[in-house]
Amino acid sequence: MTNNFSIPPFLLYFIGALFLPFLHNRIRQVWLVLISVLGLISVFLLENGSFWKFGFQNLRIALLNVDNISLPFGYIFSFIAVIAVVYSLFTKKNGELSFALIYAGSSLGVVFSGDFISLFVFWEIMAITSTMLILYRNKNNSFEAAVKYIIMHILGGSLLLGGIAIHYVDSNSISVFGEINGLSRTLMLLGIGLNTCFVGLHTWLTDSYPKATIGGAVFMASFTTKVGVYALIRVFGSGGELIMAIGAIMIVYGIVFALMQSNARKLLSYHIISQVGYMVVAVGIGSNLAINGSIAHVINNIFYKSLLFMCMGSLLYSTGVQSINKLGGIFKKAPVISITCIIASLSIAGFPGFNGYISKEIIKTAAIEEHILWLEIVLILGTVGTILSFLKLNYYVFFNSTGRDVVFDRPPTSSMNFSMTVVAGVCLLLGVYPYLLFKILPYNNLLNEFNPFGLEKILSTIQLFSITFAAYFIAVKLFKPYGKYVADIDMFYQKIILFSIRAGEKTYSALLRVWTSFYDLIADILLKAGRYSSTVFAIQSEGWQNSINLEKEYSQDELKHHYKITPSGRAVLIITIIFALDLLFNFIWNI
Amino acid sequence: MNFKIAVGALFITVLSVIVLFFMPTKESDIISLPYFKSLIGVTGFIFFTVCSKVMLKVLQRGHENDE
Repeated sequence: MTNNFSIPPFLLYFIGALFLPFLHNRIRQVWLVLISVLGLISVFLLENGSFWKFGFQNLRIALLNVDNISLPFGYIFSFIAVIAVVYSLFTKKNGELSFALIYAGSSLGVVFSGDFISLFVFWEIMAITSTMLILYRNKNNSFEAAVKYIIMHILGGSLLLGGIAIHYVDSNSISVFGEINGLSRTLMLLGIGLNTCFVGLHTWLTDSYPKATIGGAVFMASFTTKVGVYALIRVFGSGGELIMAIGAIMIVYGIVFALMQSNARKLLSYHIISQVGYMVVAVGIGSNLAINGSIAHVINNIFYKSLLFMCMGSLLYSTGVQSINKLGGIFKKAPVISITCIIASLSIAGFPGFNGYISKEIIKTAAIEEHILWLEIVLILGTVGTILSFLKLNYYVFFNSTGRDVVFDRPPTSSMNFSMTVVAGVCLLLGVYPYLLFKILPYNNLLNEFNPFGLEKILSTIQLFSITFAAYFIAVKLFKPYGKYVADIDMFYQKIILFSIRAGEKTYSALLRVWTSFYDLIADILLKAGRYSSTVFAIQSEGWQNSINLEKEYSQDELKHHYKITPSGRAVLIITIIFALDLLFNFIWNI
Repeated sequence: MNFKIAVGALFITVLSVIVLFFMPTKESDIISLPYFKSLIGVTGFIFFTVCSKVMLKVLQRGHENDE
């Protein structure tokens, strides 16, 4: 039953969350920190090869299965959980923190799952608990964002489950370590791709993260997409040109949309897509060095991205504002936030001496080794776009004088400042001494010869930064925040769905009219024949007629408004139903 | 101030190109050109600026950005 006994780390978080609602004030804070620290220790005590399996029906469930891929994810998830918990200590909402703990625990559950059933269960728990982190903000459209978020994740989960079911039927195995082919591979790619924010499946992220709670956004920025990358490595680790291309599109798309944003946390959300693109590209390359790069970038990204969300969350906490065009000149008022945000920005842009530089260099080296020139150019272009985005963010938030009216009436708590300082320190430490990072990577022997600090590499990177700085400051007015809402790709989905629904309704009513005429005709014939009572037909015929008339009661404007309320939700629901029917059909066909 | 920063950054760019020009390189492809990163930097700047401006024209919506 159990060998090399270890407690699955998710249990600690789940138990911690269970007791949290009964605790208050200091005890609650101590409990939160204690649980997250114990979780961290439990992960660090795990050894490569530890497992915890049991039989259920004829399935082999593995709630714990530790290997060299899952361990680095476990380390970073449990570490950032401690940081995010300390950062979120200011919140008085026990429920929010309980869900945050379960969310962190289920993320660990996914990475340590040895079978697809456990993975799927934790995957869905993540979706539900992270939705609660959006709902707890209880402000400005957070409900709509949460509904869209959960519906999209249900769709992703359905696709993943479909893939798992077909894989089980094909191979009679639910192990996450086997090879996956055919339709199950496609469905899994779509299901995992939704969590990983493939372009076209990404709008749940950019709509919901800016509307999540301050602490919740830090948790969400650290877990959901990175769990997606883990699943991508696990299932598609051998790479492929399709995945590489998807990653390259993500890099460019995320940056273009980030540059258009005025909402600070929305800008960061688009940059999650771009940065996850780097990881996806590395998975697409598929070599061991590239997998090292992907995991290194996950770790580094979690540090600087959570730090960026902490900084912008702290500004939101202090000023109540997250629009770049309303903030400005905050540097002197909030030095800790400003300095840590600049460190995070340099890290995400990949400046030498900061952690992002290291993982980007590993990925670039992997691309060079595989002689993929176009990909290297895309990666460098991505760096240019990232520099531009974060110049815009830092310039307008901290240095520009537009935001003098913003009231900085509530300074960040000491726990917020502590968390931001620690993570900024880690970004610097891993940037200067990356060998700490290399030690936990799965194929670290490949990095023995890797030197990210060659003079040529550093000089050419500085050149890239300096030319982009020059261009930005020459044309700084071009980057002035727009200050209004910018639509995304789901606008087209909405139009397509609106068109489909209206076309469907017209077809339906036409068919109904034909049917009613036919029914009347039959009724007439039968009545004339004098065999049946006329009352029955009169009532039924009237019923049909009423159902047609019901449609006529809506004006065009009313219909338009009606469909605009929840178009994405409807879209997702319809797609889910189509896929469910398709799966059912396939299942019956195969029987 | 912005102009001074831009001039300073350009100076660093030129300096790095000169230093890279005198450094021996193992490869002889386009990537090892001493001014390659400057080329990509300018190209990237134009690409992202144009793309975001065009997309903004297409996708802008009148109502205020939500907080």
